[in-house]
Amino acid sequence: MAPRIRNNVWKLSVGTDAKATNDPWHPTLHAYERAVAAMLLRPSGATDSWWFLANTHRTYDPPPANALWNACEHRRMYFLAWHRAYLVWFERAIQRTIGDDSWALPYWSYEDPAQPTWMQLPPEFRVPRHRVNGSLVDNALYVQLRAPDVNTPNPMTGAGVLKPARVSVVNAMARTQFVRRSPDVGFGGQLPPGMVFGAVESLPHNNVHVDVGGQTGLMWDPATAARDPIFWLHHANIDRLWEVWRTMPWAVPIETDPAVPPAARNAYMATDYVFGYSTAPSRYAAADVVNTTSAQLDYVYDSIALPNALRQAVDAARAQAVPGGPMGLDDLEPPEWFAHAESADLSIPKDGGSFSIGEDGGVLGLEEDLPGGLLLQFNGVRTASPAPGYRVKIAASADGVEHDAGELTTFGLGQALDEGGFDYSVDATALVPKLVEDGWRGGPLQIRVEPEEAAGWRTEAGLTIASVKVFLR
Amino acid sequence: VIAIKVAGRASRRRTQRALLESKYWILGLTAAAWVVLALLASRAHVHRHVAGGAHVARVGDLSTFTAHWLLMVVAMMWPLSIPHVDVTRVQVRRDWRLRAAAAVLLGSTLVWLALGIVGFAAYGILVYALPRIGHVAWLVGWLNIAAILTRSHRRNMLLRSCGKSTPIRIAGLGCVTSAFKAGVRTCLPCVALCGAAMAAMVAPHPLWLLVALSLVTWREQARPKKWLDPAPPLVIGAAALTIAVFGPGT
Repeated sequence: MAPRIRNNVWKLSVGTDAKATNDPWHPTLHAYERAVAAMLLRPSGATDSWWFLANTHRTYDPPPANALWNACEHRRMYFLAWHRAYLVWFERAIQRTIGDDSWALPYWSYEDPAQPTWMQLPPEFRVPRHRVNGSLVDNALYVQLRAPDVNTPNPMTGAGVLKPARVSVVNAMARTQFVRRSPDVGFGGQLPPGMVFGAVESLPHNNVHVDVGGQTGLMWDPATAARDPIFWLHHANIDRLWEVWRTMPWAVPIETDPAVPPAARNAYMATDYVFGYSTAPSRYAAADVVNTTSAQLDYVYDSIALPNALRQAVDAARAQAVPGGPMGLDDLEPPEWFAHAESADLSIPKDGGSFSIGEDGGVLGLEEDLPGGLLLQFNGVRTASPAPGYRVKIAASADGVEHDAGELTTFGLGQALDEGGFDYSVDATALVPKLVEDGWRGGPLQIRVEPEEAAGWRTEAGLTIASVKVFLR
Repeated sequence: VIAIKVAGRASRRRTQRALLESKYWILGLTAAAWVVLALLASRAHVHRHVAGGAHVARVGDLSTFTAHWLLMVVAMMWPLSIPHVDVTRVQVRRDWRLRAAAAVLLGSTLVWLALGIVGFAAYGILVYALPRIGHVAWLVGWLNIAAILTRSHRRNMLLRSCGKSTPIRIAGLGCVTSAFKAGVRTCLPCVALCGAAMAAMVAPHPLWLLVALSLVTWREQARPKKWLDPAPPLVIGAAALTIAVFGPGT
């Protein structure tokens, strides 16, 4: 039997709120809605209940004995594989509920700037009621607890529509390796024991959670995110993007990366992803999980082609090599990063702030040789009330031109998932020529951390940062 | 010319990197500890850090115990520190790498030492209270606890936090103290995971037990997310059974 096909939800959608309310839906979405409605009624201890499935990701509820809840993998190289197995387990639960083992989870593809409509939540997820057999009934895919305007988007003003820059896949797709050693980050994460967001986990994954959930919605909080039916389509897209990246000619998956220590590769490939109750778990072995057409997973996506405009942007990003620098993105064993300077115990006000880094860090003589890389590592970032994200900007001096280096994404940051705070790596290698042009020769850098804004969002607290380090190579 | 210069630079970098790789000197010290432990075991037949026979043990002196215990920590636990030490090296300036790596190892070693000393005191009390069976009861009891803990689904959660370190300063006294704290912090989940097996070895035990438990522990690090791996409880259970049936002198 052919593998089941996961389709783009916007190609299944009726397209408008009016049609979503009154017209019949595509059978895949209709079945999903009916399944969610049925699963919501089941007790949380039943493995096929909506609550059990969602709480497996993370929850504030106390788990029943032997229930494998709070198991989600974030900020680790297992992020993509764990969520892939989780989606298949979820898909099987839906199939059992509707009695159709050919049903496949659709995906929400929001990353193509050429398709602005797709950056809206599909109408089937935003209408409160819809007509079934002539009667209006509650729509189980609708969730009120979302960011303002997400359920009522306005393409003219952009309200409730995802912003292309916040869902960009360019940085992730440009990565050569799935994992890299600290302080660097690959497409999927960092080698253990590193705990930072992988490139695709940061963007677009985190920002879609934050922008759909808003400051008080379900998707914003890892403990409630999976209770929103769009969560699963969002993660199906992240899973698809993994497949898209694997088709890139430069992509080096962990299974074949000679730069990954054998111990780390063996640990990754010997992993079992388990769900349900520990007494009778559903088990997915890593060797099966890395291949979507394995007997246990058995699915494909309708498209894993990167749209042309995005491919060009990715190629441009990869072409941004440092003149004279010794490394390229394809170099699997680039020169080692070395810690160059540090600022510690920083407080950033809620409306942003800047700091200098490197006064006591010594000066690298760059007159003869540009560094092959520049990376900022943020350690122990904490806040009680994060912004939707923070832009990181670098200048060669306090009054110099600020250059955008990247973003600190905030999914999970406000929930203090980790008492030590979050760590981030921001690769600013592409800025080296500009900084040198501005007069930087390895001395102090001026860093600005600037909160991003979103409709209805109130950032109540600043950031504390244990340390920021400058790495060079 | 540029290509040759770049290739030469890369080659020098690889050589320097290899020489600085902390795993080599950690593994070297680990190998040395194993040699010493094997020599001690061959002289005493039973690897014991307390005086006494195989079935009735007396508590020996603390300094001898500490020396043996530290050898065991180096032999069994230091290899598990290699990923943390590697990350620590990258986090600090080049001229502080050795000191930072040493501070991480010192932090984790002191945590294990604290566990050993507490265990040593508890073992002494048990042997005093039950002189004929205390020794075997201690070994078999802790081994059973260790075997049961390998079946706990919460172990998977704990293994997840095993890698989390704390920020390390790049240079100066702060570098050493923060690396030491990171060593302590990263070791605490390891104590929760492997503490029961280590606690068993506070009592006199044969070298084969140390070898078996080391292999189990290293296997778990190599396959940290292998759900309910059957090998660890089987090995630990077999060890407990062997000691219960044949005594700890086997």
